[in-house]
Amino acid sequence: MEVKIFQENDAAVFQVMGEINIATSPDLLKAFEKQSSKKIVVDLEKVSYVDSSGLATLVEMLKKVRAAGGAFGLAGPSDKIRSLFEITRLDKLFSMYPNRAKAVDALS
Amino acid sequence: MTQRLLSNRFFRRLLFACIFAGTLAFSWFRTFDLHEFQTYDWRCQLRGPRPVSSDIVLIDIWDDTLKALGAWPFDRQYHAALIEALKTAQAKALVFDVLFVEPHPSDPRVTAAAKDAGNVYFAFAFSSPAVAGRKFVSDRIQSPLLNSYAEAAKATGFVNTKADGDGKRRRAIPAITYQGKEYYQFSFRVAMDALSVRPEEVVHRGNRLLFSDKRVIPLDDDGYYIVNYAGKWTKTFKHYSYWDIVAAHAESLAGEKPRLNLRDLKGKICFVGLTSTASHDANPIPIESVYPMVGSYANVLNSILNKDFIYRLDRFSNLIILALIALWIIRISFRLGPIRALFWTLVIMALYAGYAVTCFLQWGLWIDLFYPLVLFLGVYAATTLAREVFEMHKRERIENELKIASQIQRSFLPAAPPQAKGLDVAAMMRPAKAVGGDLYTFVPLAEGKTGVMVGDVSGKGTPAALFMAKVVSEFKFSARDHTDPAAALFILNNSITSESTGGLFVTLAYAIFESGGREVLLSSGGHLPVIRVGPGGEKERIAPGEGMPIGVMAGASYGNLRRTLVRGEIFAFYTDGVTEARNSRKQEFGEAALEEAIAARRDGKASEILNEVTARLQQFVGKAEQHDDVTLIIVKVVESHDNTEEP
Repeated sequence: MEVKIFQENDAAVFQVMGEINIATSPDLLKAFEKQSSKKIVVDLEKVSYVDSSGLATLVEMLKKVRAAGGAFGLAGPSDKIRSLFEITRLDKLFSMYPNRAKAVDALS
Repeated sequence: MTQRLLSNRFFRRLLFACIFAGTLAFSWFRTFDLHEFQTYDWRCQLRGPRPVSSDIVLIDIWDDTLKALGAWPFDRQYHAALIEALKTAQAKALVFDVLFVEPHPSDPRVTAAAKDAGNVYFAFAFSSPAVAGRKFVSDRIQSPLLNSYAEAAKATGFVNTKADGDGKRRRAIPAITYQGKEYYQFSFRVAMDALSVRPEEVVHRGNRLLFSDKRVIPLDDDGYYIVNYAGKWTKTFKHYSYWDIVAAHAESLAGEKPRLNLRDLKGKICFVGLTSTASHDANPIPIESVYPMVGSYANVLNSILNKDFIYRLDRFSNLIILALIALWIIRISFRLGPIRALFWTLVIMALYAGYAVTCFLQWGLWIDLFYPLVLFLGVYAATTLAREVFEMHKRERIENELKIASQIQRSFLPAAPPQAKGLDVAAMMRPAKAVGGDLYTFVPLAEGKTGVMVGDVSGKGTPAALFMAKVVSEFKFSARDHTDPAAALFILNNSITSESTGGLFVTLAYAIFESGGREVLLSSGGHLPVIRVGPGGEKERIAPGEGMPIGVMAGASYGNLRRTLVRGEIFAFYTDGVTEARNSRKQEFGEAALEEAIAARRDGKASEILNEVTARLQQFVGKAEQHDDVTLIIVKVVESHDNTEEP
């Protein structure tokens, strides 16, 4: 898994490529903890698979951002990943957008 | 008993110290010296020719001489002729590597010529000397020099050599004590005269000879002088034929043109010896396999005159270097992985070898090479092996602990399916590792109601297992008084989120079945839908509308779904380890296959349906590894609201 972080408008975009699973989710969390932006978009367009620990990591990131008074959004999830969020009812917890541009717009 | 001893730290350290001391002893006692000598020979060959004093020449008694003068020993009158020839040529000295033990008619001629020339050296031999510390002692002169020769000589010296275990002549004995008096090997004696040093003024300490001109001649740890062979036999000193000299002298005396210009020998120190290939006095040396020993004496003199010595590093210094580097390698072998440690050990070995060879090539310093390299590699191997054994034991201990943890975790789960009126329940759970993150439990409630819960912790392994244990405990506590599943989950979630979850959460499905099989209430916290298969084979996936996983957010709300029960219908509670089980072609088992399996066996008991599913699952997965915990609960309604009993 690879994470590219860059600024778009005033949001930090985490562009994730690959799988977010038990092996790779700690790296995503580490990358998140290294930066301090309050507006975060996680771009899932190039993410092929998320397991329960990946979900847990995204939940943790969301909680931390919300606790700091910021905004958190997920962009471009595939159908499979979207249904995962729906089954676990976490789709109600996260703000989900069809693509990165819309997510950045919404957060700005 | 050995286990106990080995686990004792003190004993381990003592054992290590003993073994280490033992390996160092091999260095001290030079146990592998024959191999070390071989590496020394290679270094000599690598070093190449050394400076040669042009003042030293060899007068060979070779085949041509033997042909002219007869088999050896030929008439000694020729020795007299040689001495006279060289006196005329104004040679500086004439050194006879020949033993004159038995008298011969021509002796008076020889001794008269020697007295006249005043520059002739004769040799004798002791019986093999005994070692006394770093010096040598003999109690008998094996080949005594004839008195007349001794008196006519400028000086005498012994010719005893030192043969190493492989027969090579690398070293010379500098001095032997006989009857309280110290005698020098005769090339040393010649050197003293050449440098105008008086023998009485030479100080012989164990590891050196001190000449009065401040020249220090190094000896090795055992008191030997290491002969620095300047080159191969034919390529070092200038050779003259004994016969050519004797004949040339006769020719010039007879007024003929001599075959050799004897003035070439002016000022030279001439060594005379038997060099015929059949001679017994030729031995192997580091740089050549056959080498007449007269050349050895010439080389001793040459090296002393040129101050071109070979120094063998003493035992103690070798030991210190060896011990330090060995300890360093042990340290590396403990800290790095086996491959990297091997790499660095080889690097150290290469650097050490390079350093040792360079020291020799540059300064003639002989540092132990063979045993250190062997030891360095051996130390790496032994340390790596010890580490492996240690790691193996550690792994075994961890596995034992996990076995116990697995047993404890098992104890959190129900021992047997509940005895619920109107329900036939079967359950199975198979963790992916020793401990897992799936959970299920049954809750006996008031009014004959029975709760069935299944859950899946995010993550795997020990953290998930610990979180699972906490959730099961909390759930049993939260659920005991509630016949409303959504309320139970609400309370459970608030309880779990009130403390740190370490970032973990758990999806949960909880159903409460009424007694007599009338109704079921189902609530879910983000869990997979419950599968329902009707008595006619109808398949359905049921999920309540709301409810996110437990442990995500405090105050989250949960909803109930109410269903009237039908006799013969089957509910399956499962985790994604079932539906997402993969075969070797990375295909997933899927909900459809699960539904199919249940439908196929819907007429049987719950346990039979469970077996059918597990059999099909196993067949699908085949040899592929199980990567997630598998949990499945089958609840078959055997009594419906119209109270019909079924065995």
